[in-house]
Amino acid sequence: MTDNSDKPLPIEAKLAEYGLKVGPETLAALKGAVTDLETAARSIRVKRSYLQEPAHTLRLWTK
Amino acid sequence: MSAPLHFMTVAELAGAIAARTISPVELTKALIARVAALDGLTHAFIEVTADLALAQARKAEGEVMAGISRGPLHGVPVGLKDIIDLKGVRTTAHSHQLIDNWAKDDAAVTRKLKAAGAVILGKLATHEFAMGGPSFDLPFPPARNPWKLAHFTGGSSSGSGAAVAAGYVPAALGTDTGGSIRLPAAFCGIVGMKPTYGLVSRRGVLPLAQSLDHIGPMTWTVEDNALLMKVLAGHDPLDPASADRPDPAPEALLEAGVKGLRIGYVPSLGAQAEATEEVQSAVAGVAATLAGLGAVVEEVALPPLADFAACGLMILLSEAFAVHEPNIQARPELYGEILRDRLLLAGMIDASDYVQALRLRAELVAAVAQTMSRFDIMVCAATATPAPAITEVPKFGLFTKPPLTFPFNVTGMPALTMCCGFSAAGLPLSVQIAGHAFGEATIYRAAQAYEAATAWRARRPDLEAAGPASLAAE
Repeated sequence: MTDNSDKPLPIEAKLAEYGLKVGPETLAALKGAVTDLETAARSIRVKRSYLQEPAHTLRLWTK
Repeated sequence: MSAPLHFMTVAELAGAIAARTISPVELTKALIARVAALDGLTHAFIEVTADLALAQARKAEGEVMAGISRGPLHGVPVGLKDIIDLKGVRTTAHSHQLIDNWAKDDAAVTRKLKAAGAVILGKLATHEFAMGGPSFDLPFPPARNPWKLAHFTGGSSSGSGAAVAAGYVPAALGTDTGGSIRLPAAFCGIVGMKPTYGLVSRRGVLPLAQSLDHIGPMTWTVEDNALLMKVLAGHDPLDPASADRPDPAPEALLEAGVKGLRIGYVPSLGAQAEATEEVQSAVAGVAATLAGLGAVVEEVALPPLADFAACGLMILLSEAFAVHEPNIQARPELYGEILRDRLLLAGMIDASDYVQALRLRAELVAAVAQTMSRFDIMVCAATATPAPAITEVPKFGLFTKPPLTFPFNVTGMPALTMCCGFSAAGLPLSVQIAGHAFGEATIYRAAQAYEAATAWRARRPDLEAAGPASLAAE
């Protein structure tokens, strides 16, 4: 596992980092969506080996 | 009784044009007039390229009269989603960001259509940059569903779905990153094919998420879709993802029937999305019909939809943010609210999660390939519900209500959606058929057999009976 599974996403800090400005309604909706995003992200954070590297994943015509 | 001109299929028009019983010029004029009369209701077109279309139609007509044939698209009008370049015409992506973006060249697919003698009738509505919609704060209104004008077309190839269903054009091109061909095809009751990743060149098309983007045809019938795919498929050395493969002959098996075809039926996919009883029953009906025609149907499961959604959305949002980061920082006010806010969400994704999503993608591709090794095609629901009201489409919610089309963007496999009935409210229901990489011909084979065995193609939306009053009445 990576060590950031419980790390909260600092939404306002990220928006500021990107120079983005949003109103309070958008911020509230965005926080809800980010919660969903974080739940999805947690579900895919697992340890994987070299054998699971995605190189050539989409080179379907060579398989 | 034969269909009125505007509801004739590509195959029917091709036969009539070749026999010189229909004039490409008169056909083009009739469709331009139909768009002028009715598209104020549906908003499928961003721009009708009337002068260009009539010039192309006159050229096609002259060639036909001289005995020159360019194939089944010769003299047949088609539409382009407005993220696909048409030389000399704006590619706006339905956005203020690109309101003066004049295409300097044709996209590879546009070039292929022109070479096949097609008449480009115009540019069609899309969700903003194929990601933000339906939106009411863009330079053009969102397309509306010809079956019920107060309802959503699906997206993002919204105008393409509406235009074909409404009888403005017999065929249109769309693009599909998470379902953007198949969802509007499903909600508008037509046929939409997302081909195998790499089969159709994306050169000259605005990207949404490069590792998930596909271009494909949207038509009224399966046969027409195969005819379009025959023209569109092929290697393009200038698209790095383009596959250097032999001709896939998508039309080759159209009349082969399904006797002995091995079909994996995946009801669990719809169940995970809480598909309505109407949808699940209609899709079960497709499996039963194909079994009745001689296919060997077996119930099967795929990895959880949530895994495809988490993987695909991380990739889609990350890659889309990479495309839009300069504009979202420099001039966010030129985006509509929905796309701007979705891009803000995309900016929240960590690089480490994007990498994890790529790794998960490899696992999902392998898992689906293993399951598919026992089958020729898979059949599952295309959407969880019929088209919702256009005002009830949430801005967010892709993680909690992921589209059923997403698995096949993640795997790159070809997948088609087509009408398989109607809801009690009269809205189309749709099934999804997926196949092996470069197995488009087998998908068309099954889809054609199902279409021929059912009567859904006899029913069309009645736009002439609709009107502004119908919006208020719904």
